[in-house]
Amino acid sequence: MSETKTGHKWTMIVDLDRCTGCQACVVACHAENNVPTVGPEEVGMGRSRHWIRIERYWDGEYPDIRARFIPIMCQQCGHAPCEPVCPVFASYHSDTENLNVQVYNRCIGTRYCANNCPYSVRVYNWFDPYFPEPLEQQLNPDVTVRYRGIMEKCTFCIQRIKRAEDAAQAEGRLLHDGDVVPACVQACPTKVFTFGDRNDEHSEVAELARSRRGFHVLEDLGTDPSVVYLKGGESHAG
Amino acid sequence: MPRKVLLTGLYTDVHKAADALDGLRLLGLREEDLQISQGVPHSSKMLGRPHIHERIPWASIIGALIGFSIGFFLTYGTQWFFYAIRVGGRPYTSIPTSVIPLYEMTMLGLILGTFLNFLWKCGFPSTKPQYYDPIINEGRIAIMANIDMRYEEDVRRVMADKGAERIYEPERRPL
Amino acid sequence: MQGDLSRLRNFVWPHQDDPKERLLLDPIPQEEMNQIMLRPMMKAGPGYWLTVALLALVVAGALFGYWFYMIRWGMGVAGIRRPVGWGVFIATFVFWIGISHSGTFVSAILRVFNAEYRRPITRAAELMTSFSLLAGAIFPVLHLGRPWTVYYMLPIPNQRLLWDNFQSPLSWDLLAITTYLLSSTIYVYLPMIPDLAMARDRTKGWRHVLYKLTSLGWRGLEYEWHYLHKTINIFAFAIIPIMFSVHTIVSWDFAMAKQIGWRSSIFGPYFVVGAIFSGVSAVIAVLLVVRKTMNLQYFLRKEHFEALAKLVLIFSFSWAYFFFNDYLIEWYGGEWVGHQLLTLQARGPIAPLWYGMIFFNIVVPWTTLWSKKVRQSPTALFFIALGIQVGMYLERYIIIPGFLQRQRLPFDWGEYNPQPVELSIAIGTLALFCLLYVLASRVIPLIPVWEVLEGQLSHSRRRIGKTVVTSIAELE
Repeated sequence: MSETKTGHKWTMIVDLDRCTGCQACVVACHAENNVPTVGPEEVGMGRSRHWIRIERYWDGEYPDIRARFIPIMCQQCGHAPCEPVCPVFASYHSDTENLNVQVYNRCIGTRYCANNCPYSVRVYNWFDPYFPEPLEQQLNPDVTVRYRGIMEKCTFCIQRIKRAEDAAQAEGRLLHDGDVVPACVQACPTKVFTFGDRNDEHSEVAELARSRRGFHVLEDLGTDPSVVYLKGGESHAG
Repeated sequence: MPRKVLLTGLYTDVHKAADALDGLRLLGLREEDLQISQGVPHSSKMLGRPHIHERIPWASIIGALIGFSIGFFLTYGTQWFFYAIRVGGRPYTSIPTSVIPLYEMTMLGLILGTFLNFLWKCGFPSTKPQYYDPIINEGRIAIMANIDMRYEEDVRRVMADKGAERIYEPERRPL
Repeated sequence: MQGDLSRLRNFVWPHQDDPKERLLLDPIPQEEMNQIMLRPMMKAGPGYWLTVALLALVVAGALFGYWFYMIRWGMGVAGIRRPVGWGVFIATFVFWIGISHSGTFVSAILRVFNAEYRRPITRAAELMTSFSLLAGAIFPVLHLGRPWTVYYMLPIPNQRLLWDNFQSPLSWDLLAITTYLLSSTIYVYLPMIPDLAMARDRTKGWRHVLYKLTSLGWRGLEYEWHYLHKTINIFAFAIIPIMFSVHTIVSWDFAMAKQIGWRSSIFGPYFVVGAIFSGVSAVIAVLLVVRKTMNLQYFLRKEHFEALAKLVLIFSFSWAYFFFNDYLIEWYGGEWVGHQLLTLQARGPIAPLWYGMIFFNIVVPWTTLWSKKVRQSPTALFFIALGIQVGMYLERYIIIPGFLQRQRLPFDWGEYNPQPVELSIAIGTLALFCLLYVLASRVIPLIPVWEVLEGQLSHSRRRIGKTVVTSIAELE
């Protein structure tokens, strides 16, 4: 009932054994999706606006301390808790892309979806966005600039998905594996991320999703996330 | 055609008023000719008047049904007939989530139906001049008798015998 | 045998209360009652106007001023943050919806149970319901990020095929609160019609016009009384399930979420009992003020406040039962995150609030309200009632922003610090409630004289054996 076998099932594989916590994916996401920075006071209040964030946990006692990094972005859940609670259908499930879609124009800003997300991936526009010069020159024309009062989150770079689909249709072919590269996937230096269509049996993500090292974050909640984390090293983070 | 005249008798308590009603009935006045206006709701049983029967509150039920249909349209109507949107990996419509709007709209329909029925049955709102004496709000009961002119003397006598405070011909006055 | 006779020597007649202490055994002419009720409505001293001016100032500044400031600059001026999406605004919203259960409880449930002491207090309590619903209904618009788009939540058919999500608890809120507001306004209006007719006959000028329009041409005829009684009966029975459903639906805003601490199936009854608890104590507080300022000592007597105080004690027990239920379940078999919440309450930054809540809601009522002397003392009752309001507000504050501070992923924990904007707006709604009530008290007759007279008709004194007791006749 949750996911259809037709259409695409976009999946992200995150390999935690390779993540160094460099935050290149965070910066790339800001650049691609017109996500503004908020300044140190706002971050101090807990209002950082990252669509993907690197959660850092300290493990062990001195001098054996290790930092564990886990990049958390919207898990594009199959049974998304954020969707049924939006009173105006601003957050709903796309049956063709199997993604959790956020409609900026429809959002009235009740913030129920953010309260309901167990991964706390939804970020809110507390104030109007401010792009200090010359950052306003590098805004992505494919993506809306959201004003105050609107909820937003990682969309798996749906603008890039759409562009690849349009290109494939123009060329009269189906999408190949590797046609769609979200910003974070593109920027990562250690190839932590793999992105693709799980409904395509020959894709890399379909193979990696079956890996022995794979797990979902907060799997017991039954949200059916589309992000698979791989960890084969020592204890899991999260 | 004998002229009709309206007489009002004011009584200070319910016992005298009930006795007066008995006396007037003995004179031959019918129940429809008598009307009682009071500031405190003495029941029809206390006054010896016929009870207005209404077994089933039809207005409330019809209101509830209308409310239910509106609730049904809100929850199921749009998803079935107009534009279905999937949320949360759930079916497009489900009974548990629809029960609540259905219930609320049914109760709203019931409430509004009952209230509108009340307004309609009582003829509210009415602003035209009516036969009315504000003194009923000072602990009086007014009995208005619509009678033939020929019997006016008898009616006045019966009313006075049973202890009326005042007997007079009322005028229509703006409320 | 000898022992029995000696006991008889010490026999004393049992003490008899003065019957005139009770309202329903102390009849006075109806015209006097009308004047007691009309007099404070007609005259108003400088103290009244000063109060109105102050309240209007607070409402204009604290409520509307800060609200427009927030609309202009964005929600960021409030203290909410990730992961605490709802803060003081929603806590105050739930608080006001809770107070709104006061009126319906007093005028519907007590009417259904034939509790005679409800007679003079029904309308004053029902007005509290209407005004607290108005004060509370501001918040669903106020806490939106884009309040100018609030009409998106109205199911108006449009050519873009956009519609509400009726699976969302917030849409249920909209329907429930609208239904409740309409029902309780009609329910306060219906028994008011005979009193409005009485006021219509005794006033001139704009008052006369107002009462003429609102009393709809009431003449006190038999069929008018009959239909009024029938309609009030249906309303009393119908509005009780509406009342229960409204606060249950508001509690489901939280119970439907995946947030730990919110996800409790007991929230429905817990919140309803909490609402009645805070509502009935608010009725005590408001009625004490009304009685003093409007000289309604004839109508509102010790017996009414004592009866309400007993109700408050009973609901304090019920609230504590549900609270402990919720707490024990989490403590005993809850997951790790739930235990973080319990630690947060007992030792964390919100610990003073939690202990304050227990103090005001449990310790104070349980140690004081069992005593008849306390129940009959207006000052004590007033402060206990205010304390309960504080305690119940703290309960909503702990549940809403308090619990949101702890998430399943520890990286996402956060502390919520309410900003002056939020606190001023909350105080502004309190001023709005008081302002509406103060203005209404000069226009709306607060005591249903005809119901009191009906009660006095049914009460009499009767001799049974050696004593004289009060006897209540069933009039219908």
